[in-house]
Amino acid sequence: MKQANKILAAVASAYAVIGAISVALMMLHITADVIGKFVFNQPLPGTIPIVSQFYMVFATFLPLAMVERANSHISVEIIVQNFPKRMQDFIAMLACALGTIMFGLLTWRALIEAGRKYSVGTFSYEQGHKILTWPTYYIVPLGTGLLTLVMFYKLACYFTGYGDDTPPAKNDVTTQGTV
Amino acid sequence: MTDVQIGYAGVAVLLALIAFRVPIGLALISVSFGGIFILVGERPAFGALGVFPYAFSATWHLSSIPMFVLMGFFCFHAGLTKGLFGAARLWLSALPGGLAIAGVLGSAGFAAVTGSSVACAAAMGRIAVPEMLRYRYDPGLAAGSIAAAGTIGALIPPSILFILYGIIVKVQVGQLFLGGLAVGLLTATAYSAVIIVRVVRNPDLAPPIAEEISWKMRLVALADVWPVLVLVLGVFGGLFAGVFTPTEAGGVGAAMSLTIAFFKRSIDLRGIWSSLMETLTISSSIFIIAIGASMLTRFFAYSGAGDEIAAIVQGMGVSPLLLIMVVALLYILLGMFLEPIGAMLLTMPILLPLIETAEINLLWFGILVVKLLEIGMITPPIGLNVFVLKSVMGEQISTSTIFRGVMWFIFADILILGLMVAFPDLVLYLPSLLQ
Amino acid sequence: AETLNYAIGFPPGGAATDGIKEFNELLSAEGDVKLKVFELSLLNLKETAPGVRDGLADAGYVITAYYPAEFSEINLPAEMSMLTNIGTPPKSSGAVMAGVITEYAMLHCLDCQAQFKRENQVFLGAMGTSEYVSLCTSPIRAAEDLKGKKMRSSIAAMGRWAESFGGTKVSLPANDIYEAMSQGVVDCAMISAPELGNLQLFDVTKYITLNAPGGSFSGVGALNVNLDTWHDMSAEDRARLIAMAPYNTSYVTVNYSDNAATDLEKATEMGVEIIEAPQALRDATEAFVTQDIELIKTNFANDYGLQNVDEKVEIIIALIEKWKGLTDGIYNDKDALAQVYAAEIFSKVAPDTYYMD
Ligand code: NA
Ligand code: NA
Repeated sequence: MKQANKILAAVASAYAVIGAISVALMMLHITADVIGKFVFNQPLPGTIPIVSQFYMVFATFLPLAMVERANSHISVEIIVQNFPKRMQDFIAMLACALGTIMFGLLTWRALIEAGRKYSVGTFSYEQGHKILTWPTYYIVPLGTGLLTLVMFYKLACYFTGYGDDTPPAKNDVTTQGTV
Repeated sequence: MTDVQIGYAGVAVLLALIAFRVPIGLALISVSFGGIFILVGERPAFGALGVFPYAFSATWHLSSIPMFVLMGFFCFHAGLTKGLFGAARLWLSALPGGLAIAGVLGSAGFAAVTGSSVACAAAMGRIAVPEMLRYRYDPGLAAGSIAAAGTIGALIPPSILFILYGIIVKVQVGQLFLGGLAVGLLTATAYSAVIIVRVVRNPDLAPPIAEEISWKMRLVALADVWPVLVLVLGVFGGLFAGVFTPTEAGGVGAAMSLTIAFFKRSIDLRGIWSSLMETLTISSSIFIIAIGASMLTRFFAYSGAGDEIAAIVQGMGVSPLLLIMVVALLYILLGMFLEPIGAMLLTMPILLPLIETAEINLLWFGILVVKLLEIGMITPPIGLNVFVLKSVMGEQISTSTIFRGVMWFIFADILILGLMVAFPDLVLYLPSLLQ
Repeated sequence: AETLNYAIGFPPGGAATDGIKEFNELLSAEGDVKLKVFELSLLNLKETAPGVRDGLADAGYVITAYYPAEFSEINLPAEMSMLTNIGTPPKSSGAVMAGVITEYAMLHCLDCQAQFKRENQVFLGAMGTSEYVSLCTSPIRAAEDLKGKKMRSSIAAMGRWAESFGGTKVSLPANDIYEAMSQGVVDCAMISAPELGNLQLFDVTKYITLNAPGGSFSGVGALNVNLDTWHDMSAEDRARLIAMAPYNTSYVTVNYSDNAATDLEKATEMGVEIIEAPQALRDATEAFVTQDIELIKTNFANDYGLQNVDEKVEIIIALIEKWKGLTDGIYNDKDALAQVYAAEIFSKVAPDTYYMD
């Protein structure tokens, strides 16, 4: 289990790094396009497809597993927080079971979709530039696939009683502790 | 069970899942999948899983959300907001709850550069809430005031909702914008009043800042405001001078704030990195919910629940005032569960004929609808702005605390709705100047 | 009775949605097939192609131009709409192109059928917008006025047209045009006149130049049906849909040209100056179009990987001439136009075999 957790943590972090780079590139690309249009009358070709189909897709799906590992997915704790601990754990287990099934199905369908786009060779064509976009369809199953594994890992922890290091260290995500 | 009943049952299941702490994105996706499966079959249900997540996220207009969030984080990590709040503290210290008021007015300022409520709440939440907590403000007041103030982001132009309404209903967007500006400013004023009243009644909510403040200190503090002023002027100026569109403004604003921080030598690589990681966490956890909400909208469309609700409304007679009250109730109910764009797309085709029959002013109605939809952003159980604040603040504050803090501002909103109905000119005066 | 869920990604009250609804009234008056129309509430414009493929809707308004790889074959004639400018410009470029593309895809282009099948759908007719004009904040009275102008274009050939006169082509989603024009991010939008109303551009447009660039947008499957649904339908229902589909193509197309006339009139009343492109600019446009076709051929052969492009372009050019002649007298007569589409195209496919193998 420990080994599995380590691997999940490593892959989730690697995904997050790629996500962070995409967000930075999104900013730079949009700014460069604006400067190009305004100062040089020359927009950066393909800004819209690259921002929407590359950076946005990376930034949406790659961090999902990291957010789940930090238990930062948004939920309403208003009722459950008053339940006894064992009950809370059981409910959390059910949520992980639902998540494993649902995101598992989603990953499977997203893989089929990506396979179709690969076989067609999907691309965007803007201002005389051809931009291959089919690879970005694989980002969805990559992101939700890891999310599914993280949820399955939590499920396995519940049944094996191996729960000491879940949830994993909070410093995974920097949302906390800035004050 | 009829299709419509399946639609209602889906909402009940959704509520139950959310009550049992199932992550909201997961709950929405599960119910939509199950609902479409039962209503139309296996093929569209699995199709929905394959098509919508990618199609939703790969959207140019949405890119302004992570970009405005990033701009807020850069400002925060570079300490740009410190100067602003130092000055706000000094200038507004005479007012009870001065920092919260500064947060509301700051949101109104941010609203002028962002088209969405969520982005506004995220940017200002990052800037204002930690400062308030540092000065020992009540967490519910601190986070609640900013979650509510975020709704001003969609009222003061630019606003995605107004553009969409204008396109669907064929009302001039420029007029909607001016009406929205009036309601946005009214909302900011009312929220400030709420803060003052609450803090006067219970000073523990926002302890007064004790020190003696001279005018010299106040003026000196203004010098620390320049980075934020430059940023706001840069983004505003750029927008009005036609250098970039509102969608591009987020990216340019983020780059500008980074540049200012760089010149001030007040951000290091660590600060840049955590800004990026925090932006990722927020955008990803919001987008997965929005994907689920967009799928729920399709499930609702299949069920025809919207048509039935319209039939019920029509059965109640067409007195305009009664109609408006029923519509308001409907939007407040829908706003509990749906995200605004989905709710608007779902209801407009049904409601428009009713509104036209009753000869209600479509410009005024649009502004009312957007205000109603924005109230939905802060009502439980699905209040996107509240969730944004929750994800910004992490473990420091619970969702229910923010919902409790927001409640007071919802009372103010209901009052504003009453004013809009009683005195339509409140909304229509500014647009009438344009004609 | 067979009720097909039909998705269109436009909000209610536009030329296309009104056309579909009129068509549906006609369709459901007799026979067993009818549509349940979802206006934007089920699928948006971009989601409709994969949505029809996966059965989220049984049928839909599929904009093929959004998917350059998936529908490259039918996008070839769609990209050639500026060719209607050569010689005498037609009364309605949209009525011509709707005929050209529908006939090309249904009768001449087996590769088009293969692509639609790969995307699990049946093609039952295109449509054509009204003529593309320039909606501007400063006047374009001559070719020289295009110099340095930022021109929003959604069609590659029109972007190249603007560039050939020294303008800058800018890509923007349709919903951003309003703000981009009001703030001066772009000077003009090359688009069809009904967008004045659809996108609220009345507020920001000061000048409209007609016949610049000319051409129309018609890269659309206006009644694409999911292939599994198609196979499950009775032969009778398929025959009925094929027989009625030309009315769909005609209603949407004529609505566009009617709305264009109304909106241009309204613009005049609002004080917008309408400029007819001078003969010199039209000659220059014709010269541009004649040589740009070579670039279109190269792009579709190299970047899109189409086979036999020269041959295909020949067929399309002949079809443009044919349909200019067939539509000019009846371009705004809904039923007459539908009957020509039916006689020349839809009556020539067999319900037993069309997309049935
Ligand atoms: Na705004
Ligand atoms: Na709500």
